[in-house]
Amino acid sequence: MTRPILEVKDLRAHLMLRRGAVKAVDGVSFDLHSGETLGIVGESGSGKTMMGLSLLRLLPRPAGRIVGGSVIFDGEDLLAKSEREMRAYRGSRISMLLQDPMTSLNPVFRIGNQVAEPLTIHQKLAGRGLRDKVRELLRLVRIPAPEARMSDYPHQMSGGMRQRVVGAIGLACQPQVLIADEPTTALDVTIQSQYLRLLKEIQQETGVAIIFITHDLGVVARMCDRVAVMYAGRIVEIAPVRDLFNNPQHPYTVALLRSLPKLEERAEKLYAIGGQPPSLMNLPKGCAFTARCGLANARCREAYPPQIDIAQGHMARCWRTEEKAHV
Amino acid sequence: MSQSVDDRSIPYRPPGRGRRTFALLAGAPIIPLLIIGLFVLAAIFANFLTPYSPTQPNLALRLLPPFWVEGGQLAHPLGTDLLGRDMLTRIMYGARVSLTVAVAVILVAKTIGVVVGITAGYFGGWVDAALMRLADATLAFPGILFAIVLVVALGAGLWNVVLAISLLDWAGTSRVIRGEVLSLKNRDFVAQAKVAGCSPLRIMAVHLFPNIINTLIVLSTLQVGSVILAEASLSFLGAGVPAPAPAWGQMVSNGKAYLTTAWWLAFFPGMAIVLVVLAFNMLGDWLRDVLDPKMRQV
Repeated sequence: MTRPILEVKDLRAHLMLRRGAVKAVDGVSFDLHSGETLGIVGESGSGKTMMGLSLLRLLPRPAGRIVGGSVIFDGEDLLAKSEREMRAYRGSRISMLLQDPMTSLNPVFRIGNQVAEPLTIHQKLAGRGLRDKVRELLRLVRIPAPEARMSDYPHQMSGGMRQRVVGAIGLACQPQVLIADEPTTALDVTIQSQYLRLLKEIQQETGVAIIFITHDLGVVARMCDRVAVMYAGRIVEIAPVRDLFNNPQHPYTVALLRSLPKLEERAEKLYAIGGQPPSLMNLPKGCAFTARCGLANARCREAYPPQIDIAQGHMARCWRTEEKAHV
Repeated sequence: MSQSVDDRSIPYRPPGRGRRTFALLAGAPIIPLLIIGLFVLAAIFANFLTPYSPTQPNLALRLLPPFWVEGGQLAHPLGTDLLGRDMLTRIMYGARVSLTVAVAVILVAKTIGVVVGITAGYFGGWVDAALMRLADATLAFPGILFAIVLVVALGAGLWNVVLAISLLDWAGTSRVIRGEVLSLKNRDFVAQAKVAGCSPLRIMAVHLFPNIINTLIVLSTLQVGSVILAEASLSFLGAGVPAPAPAWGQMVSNGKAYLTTAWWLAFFPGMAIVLVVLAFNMLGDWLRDVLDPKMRQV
């Protein structure tokens, strides 16, 4: 197996508030290979977005701080880089698609100039070459009539178009890793479907590795090769997508999958996980899911479970899984 | 594979630059532009437009009324002042003083205001606190008093007046700009710019600045009026451009004692102030509407 393009080890990112530290990312580890799509799922506030931002070292200032771990990108530790060196990575080798296409374009610039920006910064392109490259990128993300569209302002485009433009900006310098933070939540279902297909096609063309942050398990099933489930700032289960859906190990994953409404059963009430996720400011000593878990026992409350390998590439962090494995 | 995205180009031709500019200018407020244009021309070409000197007294002709009043002469259409100097000439040269001060103050004050405002807003934290307390301190001062003190300390003169008014005016601008930047910097396009690898300087200059230009232009045109008023107030109070040079405020001040006998001494320079201030305010309102990208012709 080749060396992964991105290795995240025990990454910890806290938000230092006046009331205390919020442990938004609390020891996350995973690998990412070229051409692979890793899904990150979890409910709101589980630290998905913070995790994505800390990979680029773009945590909200001044509260956000990375307090430990390492992010090895192509053999180099990004956390050891200076801010200036880090800027050379952002947008050129690691890129990110933000949640809302409606607001992530600058309203006062023409589309062409915005797509051109990473190219001017990182590749020092200018003039004719730049224009050609921008047109090519817009064609890559299937913007019809790219030549004419380059001189449009964002408000002249529809949501789906804008998201594709955002995609073009993200892909401008042919990054090796693309972090997509719920890029389709703001779009309607048909546009979403088109966009996901487009991302997949682009991935096949360019071999970019994608970290796909979402809370939509349907999208995960369609897009991802592997899935990591996050809960309270930690990855509680990581597995190839098929394994995760067929053989979920962590009770939280099981509950998540159960809460997907199924077409064949007409349930009176939709299933929901009871209770609330714990406050990230004072996490319980043991497993963070105990309060909502049907299987929790004394040991679960006592200590945080270690990583337990279930199968090749399938890991879960649950004491009960270990017991099952031993039986 | 069936893509629902249509790859054929849609026939679409944006209107030409010339046509758009024409459409834009067609809606311009004619009267304010005309007034401002007249005063600007008068200020620039005062030497050629009038045969008289603005400072040379001619006691034989003192206190002539405007030409339509009994005793007036067409040679001095707006009459003459206490020392027999032509009123119209003095108002034209006065425009030179007022407009120079206005433009210079706007340039200086807005530059300081924008730099301070964007820096404070973007960086936040103690930078913001320090710069904004400085602005608060400036705003807390009674403006005209501060300007008088400064002019007295520095000595009267055109550029000292500019400096004094600039040092007052930057604070308001910086507060407005900071507020604007605070709301802008959390917008996603700034995050997008960070993701694309922009440096803080580039984000401030390339991404934030164009977004505040509209506010800046509107603030500037609206403030031209208040700057001209401030300059007039300073010269009215005797702390402006020193005496023989014509300044509107000073002319109003000198004429106020003669309101019942020679009303034109104060009336015409006062009118000039009113007209220019009003014209700039109307221009500012129009610019605000035109410069809003959401209202731009699609």
